[in-house]
Amino acid sequence: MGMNISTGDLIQQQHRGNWKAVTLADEVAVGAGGDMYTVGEDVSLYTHMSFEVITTAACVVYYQTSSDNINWHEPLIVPSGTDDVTDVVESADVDTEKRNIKVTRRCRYIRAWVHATGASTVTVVLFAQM
Amino acid sequence: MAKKLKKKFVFDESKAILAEKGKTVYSNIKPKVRKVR
Repeated sequence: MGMNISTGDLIQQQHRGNWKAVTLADEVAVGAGGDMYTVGEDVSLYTHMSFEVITTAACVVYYQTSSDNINWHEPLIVPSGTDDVTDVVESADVDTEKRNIKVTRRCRYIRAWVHATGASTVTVVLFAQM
Repeated sequence: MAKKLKKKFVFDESKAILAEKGKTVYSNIKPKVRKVR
């Protein structure tokens, strides 16, 4: 399965400044109705962040923020198919395509949480730019 | 003002899969510095 986001893709999406791209989940199999979450990533040095998410079935993607990498803010849920974005979290139904989820909140730690509506393979890459 | 939850979703770590972190790619583009004599 060629579901990986290549390094070339990463470089093409960042044009200036110092940045990092972190593979937080690499083709993780999640059962229908199951959940997957990633480790927290320290992004305190970065001002612009986004997640690239690839799934093979419909999933709902959330991100959570934290100040201590232990206690996580519970994200608000946004109805799918809308542009209704809160200042806390953005979520999206994704299905067999790469989706970009922009982080709209500064934080110290961030992680992704994916709820698989159907059995899915999930890849999550975090882009963080200064 | 933040909106209220549309529906309750439980983020229960004990029932979720913790993904193993993969590689990190860094770019450290340093600005060009012109020497002044």
